[in-house]
Amino acid sequence: MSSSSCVNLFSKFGIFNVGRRREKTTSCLDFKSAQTLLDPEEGDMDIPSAIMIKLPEVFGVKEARELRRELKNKLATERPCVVVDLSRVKKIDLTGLEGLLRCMEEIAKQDGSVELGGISPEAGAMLELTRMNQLFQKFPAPQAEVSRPVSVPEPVSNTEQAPVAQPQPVAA
Amino acid sequence: MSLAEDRQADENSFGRKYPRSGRGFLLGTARARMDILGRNLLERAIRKLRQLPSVSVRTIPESPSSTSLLPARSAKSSDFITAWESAVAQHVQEGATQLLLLRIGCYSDVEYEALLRFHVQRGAVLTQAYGTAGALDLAVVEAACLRGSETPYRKVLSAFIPEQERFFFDGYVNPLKEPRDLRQLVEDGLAGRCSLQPVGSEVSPGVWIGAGAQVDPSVSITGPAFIGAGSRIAESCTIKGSSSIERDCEIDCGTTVDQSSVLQGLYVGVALNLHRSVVTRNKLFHLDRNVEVEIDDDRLLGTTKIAPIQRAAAFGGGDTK
Repeated sequence: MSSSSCVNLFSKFGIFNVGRRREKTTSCLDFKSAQTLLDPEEGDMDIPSAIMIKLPEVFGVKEARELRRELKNKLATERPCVVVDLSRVKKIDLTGLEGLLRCMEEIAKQDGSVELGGISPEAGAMLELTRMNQLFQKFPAPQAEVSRPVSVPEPVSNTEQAPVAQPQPVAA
Repeated sequence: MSLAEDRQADENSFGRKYPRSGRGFLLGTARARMDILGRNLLERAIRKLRQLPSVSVRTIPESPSSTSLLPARSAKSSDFITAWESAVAQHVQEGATQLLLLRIGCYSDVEYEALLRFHVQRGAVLTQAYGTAGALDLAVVEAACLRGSETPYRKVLSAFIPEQERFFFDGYVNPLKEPRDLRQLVEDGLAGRCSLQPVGSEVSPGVWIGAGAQVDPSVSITGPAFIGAGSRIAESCTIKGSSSIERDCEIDCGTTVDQSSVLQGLYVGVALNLHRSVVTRNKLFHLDRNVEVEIDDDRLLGTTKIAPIQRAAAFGGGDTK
């Protein structure tokens, strides 16, 4: 059975649907753009998709509002798994952090999970200053459902279970 | 005495990462006038100079372009050069025996008396002090050699440089160029590893509190730590890890200050976690991440909102360990 890579890429935030679903393909495939997110060595896997949100350099009130709006449309699935990538963030203020919290709240309502991906030193400093690093540490993705978009696990056979990825603490 | 400050404009943009551990972060804060453990380097230097017999002190703020203790022979006329020439002329006319040229920028434990003794014993015209990492921006000039000179003093002085004596100092020196240096100096001062004494009362071993500081009884202070005069530490704060909070600061409820320095007159918001950081006005330098973050939100960092408290007021209790 062949698997297809499913990467939806939209908006300036860089929101990606990352993961591989059997026999499912959605539009707007942009594998090239997702090279950094996906291991090109593909294999058969059955891992639920994750939404990767790559935040822009400046993340303030306007961007947070926009993110919430866009994310609302994308959180149609049950128990969404969202990875927030802050590696590009150079400036994030309180309203941006509050926006992140609101997103987390929305995702929690759907019994989903949020994880932080890359964290820039600037974002890390702000998360630590406001103690939000501790909050994200307490809010890991459920173990069985995490699909790490940055490093896809080794392929497993159909009969085997996907390896359990440990939630990564926020490196803040 | 010249003040090595603001050599560059403070052009730090938000999030700018300094490849060399934050060099540039402290320039805009006028290092010479920045309080460190309760007193700035300028005041400390003047107090130290006043301990010498019959000393007269003149202070000149440097222009941004000056880069060394002794103005270059070819230095173009500027406000600084004019002021420097004028200050030297006044000292010479007043009949000074020696001129001690001091540039406030780095911190050192050099004893001026030892330097002057060395200078006299060697019969030198010009003596410059050097530390293990280079010149200490400290020199002694024999005033007699400058008297009656028709040419500008900087030109006369530059002629003496090739025959200068070198006074080597192997004691404590801190370049104070980076936030890391400032933290090191604070830690060393609190630990007694240098002569930089905290200004205040030592209320328990290693815990120094300045006059008029208000510390809520619920605050936990683990020494060594310094809280400057007139500062207010609100309920449930934690101060630890050789942290320093300079004068007239306000640390709001529930905030932890750990291995950090908060410069004078700053407000730090509610329930924050300052860890391994140096905070200036609206800027935070994180030592581990080696990054400067500009914070425009007054709820997080800003200038202090409280009126400076009368120095005579007694500080509160507080849990000190």
